[in-house]
Amino acid sequence: MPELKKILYVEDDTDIQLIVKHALESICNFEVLICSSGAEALSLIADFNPDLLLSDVMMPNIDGLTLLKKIKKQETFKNLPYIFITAKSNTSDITTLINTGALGVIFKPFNPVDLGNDIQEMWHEYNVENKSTAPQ
Amino acid sequence: MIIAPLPHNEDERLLRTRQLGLLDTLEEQAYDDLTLLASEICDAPIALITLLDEKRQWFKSHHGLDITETSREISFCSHAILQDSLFIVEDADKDIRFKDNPLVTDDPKLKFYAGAPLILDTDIRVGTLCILDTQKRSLSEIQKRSLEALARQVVALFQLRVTIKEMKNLDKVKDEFLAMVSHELRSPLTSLKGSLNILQHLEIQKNGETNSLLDIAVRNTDQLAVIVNDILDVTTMQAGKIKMIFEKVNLASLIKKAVNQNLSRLNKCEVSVHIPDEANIQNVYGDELKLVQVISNLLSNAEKFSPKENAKIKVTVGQESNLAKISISDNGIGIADEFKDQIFTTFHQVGSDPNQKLPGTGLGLSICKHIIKSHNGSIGFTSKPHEKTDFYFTLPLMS
Repeated sequence: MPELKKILYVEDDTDIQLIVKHALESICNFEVLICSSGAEALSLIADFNPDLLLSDVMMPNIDGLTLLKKIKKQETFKNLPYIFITAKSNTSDITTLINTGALGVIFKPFNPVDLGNDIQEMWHEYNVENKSTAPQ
Repeated sequence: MIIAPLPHNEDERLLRTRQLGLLDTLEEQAYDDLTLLASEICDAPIALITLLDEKRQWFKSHHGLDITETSREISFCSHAILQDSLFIVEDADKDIRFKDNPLVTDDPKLKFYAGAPLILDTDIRVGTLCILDTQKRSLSEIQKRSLEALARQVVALFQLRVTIKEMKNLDKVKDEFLAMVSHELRSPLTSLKGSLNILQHLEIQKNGETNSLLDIAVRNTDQLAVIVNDILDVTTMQAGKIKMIFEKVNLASLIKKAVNQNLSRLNKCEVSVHIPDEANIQNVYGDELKLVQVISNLLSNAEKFSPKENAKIKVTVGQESNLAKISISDNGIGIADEFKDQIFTTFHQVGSDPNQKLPGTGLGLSICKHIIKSHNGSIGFTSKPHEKTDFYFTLPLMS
């Protein structure tokens, strides 16, 4: 199973950025690049070359779903695993997010101390499933 | 031919006519029924519902006439909307305003016209309900009164349409407001809860007082988060907008998932789960997220009303014919008989003592009831005050 090291995190709220950065770097030793907008993420993703995209959904200009579509258009990242973090609670909105093929959805407010573990679990589940369904 | 002058309030009249949103819409049975009635009652071959646009008269309904509009200049209705009541031309050939009108000299060769103005707000005449005939004639008093009554019905339909449009708009505004509130409340909550959780987790020098203050802050933030969720849930629920996604749900794993999610907040209680072997293979058809929410809610209630010491919570799965029955019991304060009827009502919060102030919004159980009802199940409880409470819900088993 590939190891999860580099996470690209897109979030427009600077407070939440700091908290998540702390949670994922200091508590879990991931390497995290924070982008404040979809545009920034699109300009930095190639250089950073993340293993996983972690993105907020409701953001000005480019929302999470649009950002995802744009990233998937790039050949290098068309299979990039991703997880959404959202303040939405509407079941149909959440189903839309999951149906895009996300590893999972994390709901705000969340406990950042558990965040790394939750992400690691989703990563694990995804890789186990991928392995079992891959053609032999 | 004399062209009718414009009404004194033509600009406003035009605006209101267009705001009806009816111009160039499809035919509708409700309007067609009214022109049919007008034609039958007045014994006239043609009956129209007209709206006067800037340069044309357009027909919302046209009984006995094929065209859907004419120019405004030649319309009888442009004269009718200047009147307070019925406008009647008994013989167009003898009327200087109409005798050389192309509608009179050529097809359909009209001779008779009677139009009741369609009046909004006492002074806005948007069009008419009119009947037309190719013979010169007159109307009886009954026919006149009937035509005016039918015109009022047309106006009532217009007003209904406007009201429905306004309601739809309001509904949209409410949805957008909810989405906004949901986002705007949860974002600061995320920062607040996140900072506190990390502070709690940090290996820094903390004394007993700091720790207990931090605990208070965390506990209250979590409570606030639950309240925000509950309020948003109830609002969407009351608007009938909670959508359930139904799929096959395994009972045993549902219970385990829900209990595991709540273990940390139940740490003061001794929690036991009893799942009989056959429940392991039984499935219900439901929305897993929502069912977990119900169990979490009942667990949180059980914890809230449990004694401070020796608290015991028991989760059991049983079967009653083709129903699965999930119970969550506690050895807490119980529910006094006089409150038993109110417990599932929105905003009602009860305990064994009427004066006791309890945390929470009192929304949880009404949300649970709504969710279980949409699963074709039922929810209820039994209780002995100061001894125990047993909440349960049933769900139809998948065969």
